[in-house]
Amino acid sequence: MGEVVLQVPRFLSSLFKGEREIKLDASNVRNMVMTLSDRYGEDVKEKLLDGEGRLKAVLNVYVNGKNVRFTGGLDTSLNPGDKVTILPAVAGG
Amino acid sequence: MPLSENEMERYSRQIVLEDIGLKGQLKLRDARVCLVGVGGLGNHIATQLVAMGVGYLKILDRDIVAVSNLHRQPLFDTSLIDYAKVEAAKKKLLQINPGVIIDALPVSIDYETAEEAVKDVDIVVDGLDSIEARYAVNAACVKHSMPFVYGSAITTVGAASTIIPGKTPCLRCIYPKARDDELPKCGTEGVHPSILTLISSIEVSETVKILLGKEPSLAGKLLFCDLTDLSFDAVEIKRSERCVTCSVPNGGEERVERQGFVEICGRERGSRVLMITPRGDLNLDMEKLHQVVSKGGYKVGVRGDVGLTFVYDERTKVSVLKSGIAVVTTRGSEEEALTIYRHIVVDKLGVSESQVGVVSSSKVVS
Repeated sequence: MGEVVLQVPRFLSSLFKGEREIKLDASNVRNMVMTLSDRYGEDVKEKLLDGEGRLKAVLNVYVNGKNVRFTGGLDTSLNPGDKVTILPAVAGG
Repeated sequence: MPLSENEMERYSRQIVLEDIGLKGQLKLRDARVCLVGVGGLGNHIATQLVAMGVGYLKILDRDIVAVSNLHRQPLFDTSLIDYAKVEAAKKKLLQINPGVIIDALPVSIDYETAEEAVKDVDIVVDGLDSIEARYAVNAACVKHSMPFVYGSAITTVGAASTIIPGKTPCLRCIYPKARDDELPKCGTEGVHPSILTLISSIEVSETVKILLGKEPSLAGKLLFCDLTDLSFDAVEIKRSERCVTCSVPNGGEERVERQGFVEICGRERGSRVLMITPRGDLNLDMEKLHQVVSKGGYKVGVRGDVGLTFVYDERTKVSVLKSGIAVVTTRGSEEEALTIYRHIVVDKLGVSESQVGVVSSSKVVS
C-alpha cells in the first residue's frame, strides 16, 4: 500500500466534493475506486463502474500517463507517488 | 514565388502576427493538408484553413447534407440539403478563398481509404465522428510517420491531442479499445455548436504550428474541455509499449471491417436513414446515373457533380454518391433499401455484385 495522487478533472469534481487532487492509499485501481466510494459515497462506483463492476467503456484511467487498459484494467497495481487521472473517451464530431 | 499584392492584402492581419509573418504565410501556401470528415468539426477546420491560405486541402466525407446538420455546420445552408457534403463544402470554401486547391472525395474512411487519405499531404486533421474510423486514420498516420491532429466533441465536452508518430502516444495509446457502439453519439446525445468551434479552433492552431515548424502544444497531452463550467484539463499521456499500433511490431491491430450497411440514428424523424457503402470506390458515371433515374420516372431532387438525390416513392428518398455510397431515407425496411440500391447500381448501371460487396446486417451509428 502507498499514497497515490488522483488528479480529478473538473467534470468529475462534483463527485469528490469539488476536490481536484486527492491523496489516498490504494494497492491497485479497483482498490482506489472502492476507497473513493467509501470516502465520497456510492455515486463514485456508479459513475465509474458498469453493472458488472468493470470500468465503464466510455472512461479511461491513466496511471502516470499510461492507460490502464494496457496493464490489467482495474487490477493495475499502484505504487506510492503514482499520479492517476480519469477522462472519458470522446468520439463525436 | 513571393506573395501577390492581393495575397498580401488578404492575409495582412495574420502576416502581421509574430507567430506567422511573411515566411509563415508562404509555408501555409505551400502546405498540403488532409481533413477527414467535414461535419461538425470539419466545417470549421476547413473554413479556417482555407481562409488562412493553406494551399491544398483534401477533404473526405461519405455523408450528404441534412437539415439537422445546419445548426452547427455553417458551410451548409438550406439550399444545399441532400448535396454531398464534400461537394457543398468545396463550393463554399472556394467562395471564401478562390486561391486554394481543394480535392473533394465522397468516400467512407476505412483502413484502405485512410491509406489514400494520407498520401501526398503534410498532415492529417481529424473531423470524424467515429472512433473506429479514427483508428484507421491513426494507423495510416503511424505507418507513414504523418502528424495527426485528433479532435472530437459531443454534448458540451471535447477532447484534442496532437500525434507525432514515433515521438508522442498515438490514438491507440490514448484510447486502446474504444468502440463506436459503446460510446455516446451526437445523433442521440446532441452536441453544442460552441464545443465544435472551440475544439476545431484548437485543432487548426495545432495544425498551423506544425506546418510552420513550431512545437505543437498538445503533443503528448490530452486536452479535455467542458463548456458547462468552461473547464480545461490537459493530461500528460505516454506511449504504451504494448500499443498494437505504434509500439508492438506487427501488433495485429484489430481492424474493424467495412460496414456495408449502417443505420444512422437520430437524423430524420419518422424515417430510418440507412447508409450503404460498397466495397471500394465504384467511381460511378454520374451522367448515366442521372439518365437511369430520369428514365425510371423517379423525381430528381438534387443533382450535384458527385451526388444525385431522387425520390424513389412516397416512403423512400435515395442519395447516391459517385463513390457508390448511398444514403437511403425510408420508412421501409433494410431489405427494401438494399433492393432499391441493387436495382439502380447493379441492374441499371452494370456494377457487379462483387464490386458492391455483401451488404446485409446493419449497425447503428450517430
